[in-house]
Amino acid sequence: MASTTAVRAAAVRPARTAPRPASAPRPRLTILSRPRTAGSPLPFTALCTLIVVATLATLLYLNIQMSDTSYEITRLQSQSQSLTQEKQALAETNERLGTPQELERQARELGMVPVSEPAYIDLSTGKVLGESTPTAGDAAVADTPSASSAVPPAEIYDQPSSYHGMGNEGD
Amino acid sequence: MIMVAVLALSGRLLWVQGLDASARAQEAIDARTTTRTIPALRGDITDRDGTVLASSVERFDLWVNQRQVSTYQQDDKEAVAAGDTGVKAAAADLAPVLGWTVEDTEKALTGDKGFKYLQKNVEPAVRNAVIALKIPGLGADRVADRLYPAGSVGGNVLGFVGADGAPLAGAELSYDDLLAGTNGKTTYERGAGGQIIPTATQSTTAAVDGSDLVLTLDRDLQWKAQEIIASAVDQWGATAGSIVILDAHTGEVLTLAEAPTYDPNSPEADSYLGNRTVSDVYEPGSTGKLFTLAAALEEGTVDMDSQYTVPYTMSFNGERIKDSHSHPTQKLTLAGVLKNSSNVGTVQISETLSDQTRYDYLKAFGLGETTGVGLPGESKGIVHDPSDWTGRTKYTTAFGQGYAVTALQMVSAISTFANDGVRVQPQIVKGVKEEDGSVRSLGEPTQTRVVSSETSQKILELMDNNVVDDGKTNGDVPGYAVAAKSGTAQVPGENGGITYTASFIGTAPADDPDIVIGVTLFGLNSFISGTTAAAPAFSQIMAYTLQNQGIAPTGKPGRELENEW
Repeated sequence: MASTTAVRAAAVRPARTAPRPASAPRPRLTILSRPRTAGSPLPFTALCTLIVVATLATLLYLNIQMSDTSYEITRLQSQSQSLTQEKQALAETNERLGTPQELERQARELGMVPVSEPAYIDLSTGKVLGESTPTAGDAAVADTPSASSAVPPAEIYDQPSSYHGMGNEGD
Repeated sequence: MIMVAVLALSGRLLWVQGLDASARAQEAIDARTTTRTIPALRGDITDRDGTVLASSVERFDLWVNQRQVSTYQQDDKEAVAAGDTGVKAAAADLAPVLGWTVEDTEKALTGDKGFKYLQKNVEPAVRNAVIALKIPGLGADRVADRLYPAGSVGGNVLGFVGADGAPLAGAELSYDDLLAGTNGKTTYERGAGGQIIPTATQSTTAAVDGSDLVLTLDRDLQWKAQEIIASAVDQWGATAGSIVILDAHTGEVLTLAEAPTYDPNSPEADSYLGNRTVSDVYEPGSTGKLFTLAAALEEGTVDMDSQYTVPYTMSFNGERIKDSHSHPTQKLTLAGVLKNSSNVGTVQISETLSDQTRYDYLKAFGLGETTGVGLPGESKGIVHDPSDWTGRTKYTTAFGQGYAVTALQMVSAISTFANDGVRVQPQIVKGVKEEDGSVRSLGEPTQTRVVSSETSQKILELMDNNVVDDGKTNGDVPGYAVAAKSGTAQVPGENGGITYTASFIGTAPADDPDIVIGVTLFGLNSFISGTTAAAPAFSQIMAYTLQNQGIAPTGKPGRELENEW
């Protein structure tokens, strides 16, 4: 906008230089209001220029913003995707660790054994129903399901894949 | 000459810019415009407590263009200097990521195929690691995979989906309309980097994800039952086995366990992919005596004090009926007939009823009709019209032969006695999970009053009397009064051989029952009674179920009735 200030030079009034012929009858003079010279067209031009420039600037700004946002969307989408994947991986780990097969294995590793005969306390009477006896160690071992009847873990986790992408592609 | 050239160029310019402009512009738009399908997520399947049994996850199929691999690291001066380029270097870098040996990897990368799958269904982390190696010719396609975290636990109920995601069995198939959802799509113009051009036209139809299905199964119970039935099948040399655990009041199937069964993650690895509990029919045998007794008690043609003289064999209208084991003539009460599981005694009881009446009761107990439990491939069973009960059938139907049932039908029928005489349609699905976490029921199960409350109580008493709660008898559950009945029936096998089906169905605590359990063993090679083969498994799973469901002993001892007079 530096150019606008330079244009704003002093307005020049046109000088009345025409000589008045002496012999000519003096024309009757009437008083006229001073013609409106309205200063100069410069302020108006400046205003128009300003509007155009401002509009262009705004448009440029908006455009930049829009493509910026668009790139931001792309970036966030990929971030969201990687976070989704991370969440999914964690959820899968959680589900794997929570399966009954896995829980039983871990409980047995900790030395826990299944309850054989639980006792119940009737809260209204305070009476103990049933007789709980600690499970003997060897009984617990006997209770361990044999390898053939134990439910195997899901066939998705941590297993060496037998699929090596060879031989079954339909050569 | 120049004029001609200028004229030609001007003409072309006029053509491109003026006359053909819109077509050219459209071509450009078409090139920029892309439509992506927004895949609808298939809903999860959970057990009754919301534990995930099946869920959809993102996976990648890795592929290779073998012709391009040899250019690996050829622009890398260091690598070139070290001779670390081409297929060998790519294999060495890729092998640890895939967990393969370098030799295998090299073999997979070598060749002149333009497209070959390296490995299917790899996790996103593996895919990212592979892509990060920037091996030329290596790519990955995103696919959805269906995961069953607990493997074969409930596999027979869940079913599975094919490689294309289409449901092929189980609840996946029968409730596909709820699980599938509707794919959406988005159309937009994109820049070179794949970013959306903001001012251009865009349209998006959102995908509607599938609903989450909540089953009535209890995963822990299902798991334990599968372990127990697999062990029983093993022990007795049966071809297969089934355990059904039913809530008698709601009809909810807490467990539908089978052995052998399959892991829905890789069904191709297992040979049996069905649900024999609802699809295979067998003659129930002695468990069917309960229906004869219930009908006679309800019709008032016998009562609890009725007395019978029961020889080992007896002729009815020329048909010789005999008991399973030789015995001198016994004087049995109604309770004694059931406790001794006497065929002769039961036929005497059935003689007090018309064939039509007995048929009507069998139908009322739900036999000969699908239960509508919500699993595909359900069999109706076979109950012939009484006009077709000719010769022996007229008598054998009294003690559970001459008609055929599924294991689920049988457990459901007997659960009538644990629900005051009202049979509740069994169901495998609790409902659909709403966004607020609540479960919307898919409809109430039908309820049918089969016998009166009094008759139902009497049958429970008889079943209670049938199992001695001495801590030693098969079928006993320590601390609880058990009411149950065993059954064994012959099955004509292939090549003229005969196999046996043994079952044990009952409930506990007998004076206030909620849970009914049926254990069935199929394809036994010799006569092994339900009490011998199925009852021990029944005791184990009943004890576990009562703990799991928090059902305390009532403290009342089991009822003992006079069996003889």
